[in-house]
Amino acid sequence: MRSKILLVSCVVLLSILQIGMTGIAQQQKILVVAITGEPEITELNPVRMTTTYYTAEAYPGLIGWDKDGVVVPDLAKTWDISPDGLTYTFHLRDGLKWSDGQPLTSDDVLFTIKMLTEQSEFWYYLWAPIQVPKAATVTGYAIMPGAVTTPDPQTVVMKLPSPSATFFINAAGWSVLPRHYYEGMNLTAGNPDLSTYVASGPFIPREKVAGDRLVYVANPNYYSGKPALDEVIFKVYRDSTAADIALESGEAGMFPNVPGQDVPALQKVPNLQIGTEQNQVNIYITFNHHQKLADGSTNPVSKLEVRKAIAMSVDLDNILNSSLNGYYKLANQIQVSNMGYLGKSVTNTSIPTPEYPYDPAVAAKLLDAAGYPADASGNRMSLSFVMSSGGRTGSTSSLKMMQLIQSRLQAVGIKLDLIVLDEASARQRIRLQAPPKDWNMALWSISSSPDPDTNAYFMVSTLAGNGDAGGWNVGGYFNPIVNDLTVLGENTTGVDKRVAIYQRISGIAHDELAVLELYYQTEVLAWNKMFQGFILGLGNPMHDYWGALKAQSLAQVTLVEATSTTSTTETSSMTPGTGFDYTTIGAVVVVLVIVIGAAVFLARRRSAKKT
Amino acid sequence: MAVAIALIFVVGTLNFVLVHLVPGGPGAILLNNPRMSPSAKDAVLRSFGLDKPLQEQYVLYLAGLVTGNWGTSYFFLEPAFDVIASRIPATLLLMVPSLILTILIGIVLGVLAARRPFTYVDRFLSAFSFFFYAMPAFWLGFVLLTVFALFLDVLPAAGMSSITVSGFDMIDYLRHLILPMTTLTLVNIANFSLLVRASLVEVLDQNYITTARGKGLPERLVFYRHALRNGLLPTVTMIGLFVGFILTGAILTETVFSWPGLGLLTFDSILRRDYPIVLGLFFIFSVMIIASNLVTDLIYGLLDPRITYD
Repeated sequence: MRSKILLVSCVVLLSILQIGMTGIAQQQKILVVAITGEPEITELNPVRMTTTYYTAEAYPGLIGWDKDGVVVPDLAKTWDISPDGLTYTFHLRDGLKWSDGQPLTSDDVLFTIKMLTEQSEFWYYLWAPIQVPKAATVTGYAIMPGAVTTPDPQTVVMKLPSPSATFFINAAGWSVLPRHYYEGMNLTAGNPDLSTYVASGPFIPREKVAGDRLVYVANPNYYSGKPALDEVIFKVYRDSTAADIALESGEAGMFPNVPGQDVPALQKVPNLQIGTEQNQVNIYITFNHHQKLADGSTNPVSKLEVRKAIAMSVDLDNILNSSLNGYYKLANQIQVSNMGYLGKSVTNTSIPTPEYPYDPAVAAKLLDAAGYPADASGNRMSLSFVMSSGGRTGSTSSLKMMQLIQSRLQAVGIKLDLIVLDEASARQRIRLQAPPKDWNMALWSISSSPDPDTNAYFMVSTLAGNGDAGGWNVGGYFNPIVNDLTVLGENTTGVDKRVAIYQRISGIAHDELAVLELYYQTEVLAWNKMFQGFILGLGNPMHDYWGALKAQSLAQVTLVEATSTTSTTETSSMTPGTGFDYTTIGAVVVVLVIVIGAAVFLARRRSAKKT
Repeated sequence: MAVAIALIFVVGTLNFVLVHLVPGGPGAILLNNPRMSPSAKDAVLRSFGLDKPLQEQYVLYLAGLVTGNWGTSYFFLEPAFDVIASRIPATLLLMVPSLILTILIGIVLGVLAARRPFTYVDRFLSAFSFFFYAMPAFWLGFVLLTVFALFLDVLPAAGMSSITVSGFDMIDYLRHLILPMTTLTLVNIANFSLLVRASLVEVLDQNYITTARGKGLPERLVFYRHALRNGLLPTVTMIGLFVGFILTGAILTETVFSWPGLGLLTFDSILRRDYPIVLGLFFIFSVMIIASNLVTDLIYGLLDPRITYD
C-alpha cells in the first residue's frame, strides 16, 4: 500500500513539473526584462509619477536624444527657434496616431502642457517661463494666455515673454499625452486604467500584476512602425541573484542592472551577451562646508586644506576598480562627461582626472599645515560619514567602496565613522536636516539632465534656498561667484556662451573642492543573444537612465532563431522550464531512493541486532 | 466587545508611535525631486494629510481602524486596505501550505525519532532537523533556485505565475509554490520535530504509559492512542506562536523568490515610509497573532480536559 502511495505521488509530482512547460503555442515574441524594484502603478500616472522609466516606452516627446546625447527629432520632425529666442515652433510628423487610432495632433501638446502645469506638483516646472500664478489649480500655476497656440493640427507655437536657455529641452523633451484619454480624469487622486491605456510610443503598458510584473504590448500605430517584439514584460526579481538565475535559465531575456560582482559568472554563460552604458548619474562625496557642526564642534572639512588632504589620501581609481569591478567612469567634475549640451561638450578639459593625485605624504603635510598634526597613535581627527543602504548610492559595492576609502584615510590619521542608514533615514539626515547638520561628509548623487544648469544649480549653488534644509546642495557650499554664474547661465541663450559659463563653474567647484567627485555611473546589462538590436548608450535624459531600454532601442529589438552557440534550454518563446531532462531527473530520483533505502535498511538491521 | 475595542486601541497606538519614531518620514521619499517648489511640496503633503498635527493624524488613524478607512497609500495612490487585501491571497497561498506541511512533516519526524530514541534513526532525524534549522532561509532558497531553476531547469525562478498565464492556474501556481514552500518548510521543521520528540520522550516515561504496557497493550496502541495525544499538546502552543514566525520567515523567502505577498509589501512600505500601508499591515499582523494565540488557547481547552475557561 505504501509503495503504491509513493508511486502515485511520484507520478503526480513529475506531472506537475512537466505540465505548463511544453505544448504552449510559442508564436509570441516576448522580451522579459528582469528588474529588482517593483514598478508602481503611479509611475504610469503622468501627473503623479516621480520617475519616468515606465512612461518612456509609451510617451515620446517632441524631441529625443540619440545614444550620444545629441538631440534628434521624435514626434516633431522639425522645429524653428526665432532669432530673439522668444518663439518656438514645432512641426509634428505627418500621420501620427495614438494606439487607439485617434490622430495625435498639436492639440494634444497644448493639453499636455496645460494639464501638467496645473496638476503635477512634480513636473509643472518644465514650462516655468510661460506660466503665471493661478491659485485655483493644484500647483498654483497656469499657462500664460496665448503662450501656446496651435495654428493647425501639425503645428505648435510657444511664445516666451523673455528668452530662456532651459526652455527648449524641458518643454520639447517631455512626453506628449493624449487629450481624448486623460481629459476629465482626476490623476491627482487616482491612476489610469491600464486595460484602456492609450499611448503613442512603441509599447503600451497593458497589465500590472501586483508585485510581479508590468506588461507592455506592441503599438501597431507607432510612427516608426510596429515593433518586432510583441510584448515587453518587466518582471520583478527582488534579488539580483534570482535575476541572474532567471537570465541564465532563459526565464528572463535581459537584466539591465547587473551588479559588477555578478558579471564574471555571467560572462561564462555562452548564450549571454554583456554590455555597458554610462548613464547620467554623478556619484560624489559631499562635504559639510559649515565651520561648526550642529553640536557646536569645529568641522575640519570646512577647511580647503583638509578637503584636499582627503582627496589626496585616496587612490580613487584603484578603490573604484576594486569595489565596482571596473564598471564605472572616473569622475572629475560636476558635469557628467557624456552629457553634452545641444551637441557641445560641457566638460572643462583643464580639470585633471583624477581631480587630485594620490599622494598620502602630501596629504599628511596638508593636514599638519591645517592644524591637525598626528598624535602619538597617528590619529589626527575623527569624521562622520553618512550614506544610504538603498537608492542610487546604496549597494554592497558602495559600502565596499567607502570601507576602502575609510581604510585609506585611516592610514593618514583620519578616522572615518561610517553611518549607514536606510534610504529614508539617510535622506532625512543628509538633505532634510537643518544646517549646519551633524555630519562631516556624505555620499550623494545627482541625475543630470541635458541642460548643464541642473548640476550647477543643484550641486553647488545656494539659489532659492538650495543650500538650506531640503536643498540638494546638502553640504551648504557657498560661493557668490558660482551663484551669479548660475543665474547668468540660466539667462544666456547662446550655446557656446552657456557652455563657457558652466565650464567655469565646474572649474571653481573643482578648485574649492565643493564636492569630491567619485564616478559617473555605468550600467552593466546582460541579455540573451537571441535578442538583437539593443542600442546601448545614453538613455533619453528626460526619461531617466535606460539606454538599451529606451523607446527607440526597444522598438527595433528583434528575436533571432536559436543558434548552435546557445544553450539547449532556449526557445524563441523564452518560457520557463522548457529544457526538461527526464534522464537527469530519473537518475537523481533513483540515486535518492537507493541512498534512503540503504539507510533505512541498515538502521533496521542494527535495531534488530540489539533486540 | 469592550476588550476587543481596548485591544484595537492599544495595538493601534503602539503601532502608530513605533512607526513615527523611526527617523525619516514619508516626505524624505515623496519630496525627493529637487525641483519641487515649497508650495508644491506643501501640496503633496497636504494631499495625504501629512500637514496635519501628529495628534490629529493619530485620531484619524484610530477612527479609520474601526471604520475600515486605512487611508490612501502614498505610492499606490489607492486605498491602503485594497492594496493590502490584494496581497493577502498570495501570502495565504504560500503560508498555509507551508504551515501545514511544516506541521505534518515536523510531527512525523518527531514521532519517528521518539519511537526509536537514541538510535541512529533518532540521531539522523535530529541532525537533519538541526541542519536545516541552522541554515539561513535565503541561502537555502538560492541553493534550491540554482539547482532546480538553473541546473535542472524544471521549476521557475521567481514569482507566483508564469508570464504566459493570466488569471489563476492551479498547476502553474503549484509549480511556482514548490521552491518557496520547500524553503520555508525545511528551515522550520526543526521547531516541531524536536519539540514533538522531546515531548513524546517525556510522556513515554509517565506512569500511565508503564501501566498501559503492563496491561499488555500493543506498543503501537500505547504510542499512538495514549502517548501521542498528550505529547502533541505543546505542539498546539507552538503552532499558535508559529503564525508570527512564518510571517517573518516569509519576508526573506518572498524576497528570494519574488513572491508578491505581504512580506515584500511590508519590507518595501517600511523603506518607503508608506505609513497607511505599514500601519495597516502591522495591525493585521497583530490581530493575526492575537487571534492565533486565542485559538490555540481554545483548542488547548478542547484537547486537555484538565483545562477549563470561565
